[in-house]
Amino acid sequence: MGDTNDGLAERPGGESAGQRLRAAREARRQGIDKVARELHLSVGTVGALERDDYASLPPPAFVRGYLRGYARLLGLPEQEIVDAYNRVAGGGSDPEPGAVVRGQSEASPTSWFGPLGLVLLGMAGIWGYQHWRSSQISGEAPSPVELSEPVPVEPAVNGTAMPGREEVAPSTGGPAPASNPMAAADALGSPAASPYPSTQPQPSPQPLRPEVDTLTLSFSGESWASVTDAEGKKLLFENVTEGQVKTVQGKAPFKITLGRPADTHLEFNGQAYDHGYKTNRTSARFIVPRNAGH
Amino acid sequence: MFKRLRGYFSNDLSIDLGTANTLIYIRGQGIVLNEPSVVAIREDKNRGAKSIAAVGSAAKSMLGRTPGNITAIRPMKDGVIADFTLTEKMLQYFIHKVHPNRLLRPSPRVLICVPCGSTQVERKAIKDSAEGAGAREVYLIEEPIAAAVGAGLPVSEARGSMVIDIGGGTSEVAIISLNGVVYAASVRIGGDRLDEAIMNYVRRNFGTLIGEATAERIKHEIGSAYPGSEVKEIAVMGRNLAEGIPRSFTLNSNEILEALQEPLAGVVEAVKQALEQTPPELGADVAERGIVLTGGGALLKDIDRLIAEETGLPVVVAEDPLTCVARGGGKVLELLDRKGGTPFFLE
Repeated sequence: MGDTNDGLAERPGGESAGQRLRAAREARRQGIDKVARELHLSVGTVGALERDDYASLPPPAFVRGYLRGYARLLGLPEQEIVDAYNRVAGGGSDPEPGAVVRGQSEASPTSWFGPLGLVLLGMAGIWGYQHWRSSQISGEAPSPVELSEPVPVEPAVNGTAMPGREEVAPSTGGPAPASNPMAAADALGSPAASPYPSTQPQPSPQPLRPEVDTLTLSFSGESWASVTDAEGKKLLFENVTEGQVKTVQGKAPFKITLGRPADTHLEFNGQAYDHGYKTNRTSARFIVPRNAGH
Repeated sequence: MFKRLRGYFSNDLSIDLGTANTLIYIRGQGIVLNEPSVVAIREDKNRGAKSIAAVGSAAKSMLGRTPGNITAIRPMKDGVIADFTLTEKMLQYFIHKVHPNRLLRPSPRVLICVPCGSTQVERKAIKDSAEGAGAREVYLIEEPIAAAVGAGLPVSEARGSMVIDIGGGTSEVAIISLNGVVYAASVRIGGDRLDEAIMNYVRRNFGTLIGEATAERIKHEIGSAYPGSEVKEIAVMGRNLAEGIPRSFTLNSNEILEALQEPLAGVVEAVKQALEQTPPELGADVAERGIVLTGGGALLKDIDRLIAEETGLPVVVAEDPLTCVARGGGKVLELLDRKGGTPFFLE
C-alpha cells in the first residue's frame, strides 16, 4: 500500500482507476451490464467510471464509494483505486453546505446599513455644498427670475455646483436646456448669445444687467454726497469740489443724498440719470432703482 | 463577561457526543479527540463521597474489570443522556483535555450533534450539560445533517440525499434536501445492540458468558453483515455457565453473521420504511446516486452490501465514516461567523 503511486505507474494496463477497472473486468470476461447489475448502478455510470469521465458522475463522496465497490467486486485493492481517483480528481472537493440559504440571507440589515449610511452621508454633504454654493451665487449674480428665459436658468445654478444632478432639475421647460447645464451656465455670462430658441413671446429684448452697478457722479459746484448701496455699504460719503467726478460701484438700488443736487449730474451704468432736482435750495434724498435708465 | 473574555482563549468545538465514543473537532485543527464515552466512578464507602476515577480510554479499560468501589459507567444511552451529572463531568474533562492552556478555564462555543429522534427534554439535557461543562454558547444540530455534511453530500442542492448513520446507540436514517431534513427516523439499534446480540448468541449456543469488550472485539475482527466467500475464525475466552470456569472456544464469521441477523434486520427495516415515506422525486434521486453509510457501524464488513441487496440501490460507505458527524459539525461550525449564519441549528 505504501508504494501505490509507483506501483500504479508501473502497471502495464495503465494508471487511471477507470482503465484498471476496465482491464480487470475484461480479463474476467464480464460484461458491463452484469457488473452494473451487481453494483446496482446504471450501465452509463459504470461506463463513466471506466472512462474516468467524472464530470458526468455525482459528487466525489459517491464516486469513491462506487470505485470501492467495483474494485471489491473484481478483487482489486480498493484503496489503490481510490488513491488513483484522488490523484486525477485532486482529492475531489466536497460541496459546501449551507450555500442556498446563505445566498438568500446575504442582505442582512448590518450588511447594507454601512454602505447605505455612507451614501446618505455623501448625498447630505453634496446637498449642503450645493445649498451653500447656490446661496453664494445668488448673492453675487442677479436673480434668475430676471433673466429673459427663466426656465433654463434654474438647472444652470444647480449645474454649476453638481453637473450630475440633471435628473433632479425641474423639467417644466424645454428638455434641451434642462439637460445641458454647461450651456445654461454660459447663458449667465453672455445673455446675448443665449442658445435657446425662445418659443414664448417676449415683451422686449432686455440686455442683462451687469453683476456690479456703476454710478458716476459729476459735480459742477462744491457739494457733499453720500451713496449707499443695496447692502447698506457706504460707497461715498465726503465733500466734493467743483469739477470732481466720483465713480462708485456696488449693488443697486443706491440710496443717495446730495447737498447741492442741481450741481450734481448722475450716470447709472453709463446712462444719464435724472434725479429731478433743479435747484439747490434743499438737499436731495432719493434712490436710484435697479432698473434705472432702462 | 468573564466567560466572553475566556472565550477569546478557547477554541470553537464540534462534539459528537456518541453513546460509544465522543469525538471532538476543533475549528481549524480537525479531529483532536476520539475517546470512549465512559466514566469510572470511585466511591468512598466510609464517607459516602464519590469521585471521578477515570474518563475515556482509561475508564473503558476498566469496564467489567472494576473492584467493588469503582464503577465504570457509560453516561450516554441510545444517543441521549442517561446520567446527567456524569455526562457533564465527562464533557468537562474532554473540553479541558483539548485546551492545553491551563491558566484560564476554557469557555468555548460548542456545537453538539443530537439524534433526530431525541425529545425536547433530552436536547435540553444535552445543552445544559454542555453549559455546565463550561461552554459559552451551545448549538445543537441533528446528527444526520452533520453526518451528510461530513460525508461530503450535496445537502444544499435541491436533490435528495439519503444517509444512514449507524452509531453506538442509535441508527439514524434521513433524506436531506436543500439543507433540511425531509424525512428522518431513528431506531435504537447500533453497535451496542450488535455486541449484545453476540453476547446472547454465545451464551445461548455455547453456554458461555462473554463481556461487552470481548463481544466488541469479536464484532470488529470477524463480524460481517453479508455472507462472504471466506470464513474467518477467532478464539475467545468466556466463563462456561455449566462449569463456572473460564474456557476458550472458537467462533467463526458465519456464526457471528447469524448472531447479527436480528439487529441488522431492524436497520434494514428502517431503511425500507424511509424509502417508502420518501416523496417520489427525492426517492428517484436516491435511487440514481445511492445511499451513504456513516458512523462506526458502517465499518461492519459488508453492511453496504446487505443494504444494497435488500433495497436494490447502490450503497456507498463514506470516507472515514467514524468521524463523519464530528467533521460535519466542524464544517457547520466554520459557517458560524459567516453572514447569515447557518441554517442547520435547532431551536
